[in-house]
Amino acid sequence: MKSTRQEKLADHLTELDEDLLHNAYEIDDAQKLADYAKSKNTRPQRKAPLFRRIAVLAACLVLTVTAAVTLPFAFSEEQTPDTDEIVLPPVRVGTEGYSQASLSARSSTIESLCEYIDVIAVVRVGNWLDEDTHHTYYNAEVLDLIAGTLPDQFVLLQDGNSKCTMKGYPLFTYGDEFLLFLVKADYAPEEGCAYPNKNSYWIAGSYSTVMEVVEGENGNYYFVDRYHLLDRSAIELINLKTENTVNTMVHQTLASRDAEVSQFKAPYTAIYSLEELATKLPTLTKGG
Amino acid sequence: MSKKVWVFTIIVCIVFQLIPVSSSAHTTSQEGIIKDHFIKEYGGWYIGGEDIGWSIDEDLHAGTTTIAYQLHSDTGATLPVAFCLRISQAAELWSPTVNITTNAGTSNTVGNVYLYAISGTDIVASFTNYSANSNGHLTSWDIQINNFYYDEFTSITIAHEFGHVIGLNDLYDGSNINKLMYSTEAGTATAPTTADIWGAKIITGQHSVHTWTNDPYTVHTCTDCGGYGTHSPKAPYRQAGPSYHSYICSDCRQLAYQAHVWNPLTGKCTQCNYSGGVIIFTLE
Repeated sequence: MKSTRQEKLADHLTELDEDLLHNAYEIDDAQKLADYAKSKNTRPQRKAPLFRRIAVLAACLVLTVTAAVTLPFAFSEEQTPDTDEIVLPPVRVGTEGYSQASLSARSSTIESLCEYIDVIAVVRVGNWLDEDTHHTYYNAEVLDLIAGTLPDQFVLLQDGNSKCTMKGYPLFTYGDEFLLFLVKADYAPEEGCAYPNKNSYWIAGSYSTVMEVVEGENGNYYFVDRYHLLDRSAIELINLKTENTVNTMVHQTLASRDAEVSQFKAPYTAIYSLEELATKLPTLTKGG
Repeated sequence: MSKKVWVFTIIVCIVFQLIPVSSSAHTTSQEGIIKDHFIKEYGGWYIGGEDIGWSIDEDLHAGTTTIAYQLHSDTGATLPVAFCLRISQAAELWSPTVNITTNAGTSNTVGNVYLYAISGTDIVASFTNYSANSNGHLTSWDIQINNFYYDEFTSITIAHEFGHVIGLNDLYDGSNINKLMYSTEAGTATAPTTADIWGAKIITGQHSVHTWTNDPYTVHTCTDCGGYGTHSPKAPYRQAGPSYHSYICSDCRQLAYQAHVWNPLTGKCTQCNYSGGVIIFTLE
């Protein structure tokens, strides 16, 4: 009987991975297990390895499914963000009200802006990061670098925070796309706030130079100048507001993208071609 | 009373409860004044604005012709004499339309003027941290002046911020660069202009009755962009919607709009001589 049990045990064990077997049991242990099985009328020597086999198979199955789901996104050009990781600003408009501000004269024209800014770029706003007593910080990525140098991913500063935003200038939100005039932030962070860091940039001219960007069906990009920066500048661009197709497309796109922003001062918007702006920009005298 | 009547009555009551009731800070608000006689044009009642040269905030203003303030430094340091002088000069610029003084305990509208330092912004000064009562009258407010731009800000900058306390909004259109309430330091005003003062008079109740006169314009609404335009040859609008006759206050330049008064014999508006029809304007 003993010999028969050992033979049965051996038959069972050969069905399993031999490495796993030797790692799990010594030969003497197998004999002991067989004796223990006889006394308890159970078959532990078979039950434990089978459980492990099922666990390994289940783990492989889980890994296979996970890989099948994630690999296509990992290798695609446009990564789809994990919705669990999106961090929106706590509010869009300050809980304690808004402020109205006077802006420095140096931000009033493109020519004067270019005397102190570091970068002109089309950027997409990412996750909300933090805020201090005057600013809100976001992750941002560069979509189109027009002038200057900028890391692909950087920290974007916006005037205002969850307590007080500027009138008509709600906090940005995930996915907003803007043409921005940026200056590298070189001041120390406030206590309790991790930003700005070495990759942080603030928006020259604050709300008055923030241009929403829309891609047209023809692949051309358009930007909306809400505060007449181009009117005050020497650069002459064709205002496309009178082109009904462009006008309608831009307004509809902006309204669907972020109603909070798009409703503000809509009657005063001017629409220009980003391509035309890029060809007529004055040379950056700083940083470019 | 039958069951149907009771049900009808209840439904009517519920409907009236659900209808939003437009409220204004004042019974004599500009909205109320214009609404009595004129048509509500696109975008709501247009109280002042870029076209007129002043814009008022009826939900946030001093509500008085006497304004008091106190000076502070965010660090507690003694304020420079030159800084204090610029503030008092700015206050004087609004006289006699509005009397702005350091707090002498004579007014219940007390605000604070702070000198603070903040990097990473082009904001020279701001009107902020306010609170207001149900009439839209300010009960507290701050003007913050960025020490980072100490060499740039002037008494004009502060006069602009006092304009916000009075109840005036920023202006952005390049055509208003000569107004005190223009939004950037590039503005050319050296004092409150006529337009700024008219806005201040309106929001402080010193000009509550308009003197309407015919304006030689017909205003056309646009079904494409939702905007409106006038007979100006430069008007960049394609006109397709209904048109209105335009009136203007001969004092404050507030615009208002009314239906044409058609002469059955001539087929033209008796006020503006407009003959109707759809006009397509093009750029020059």
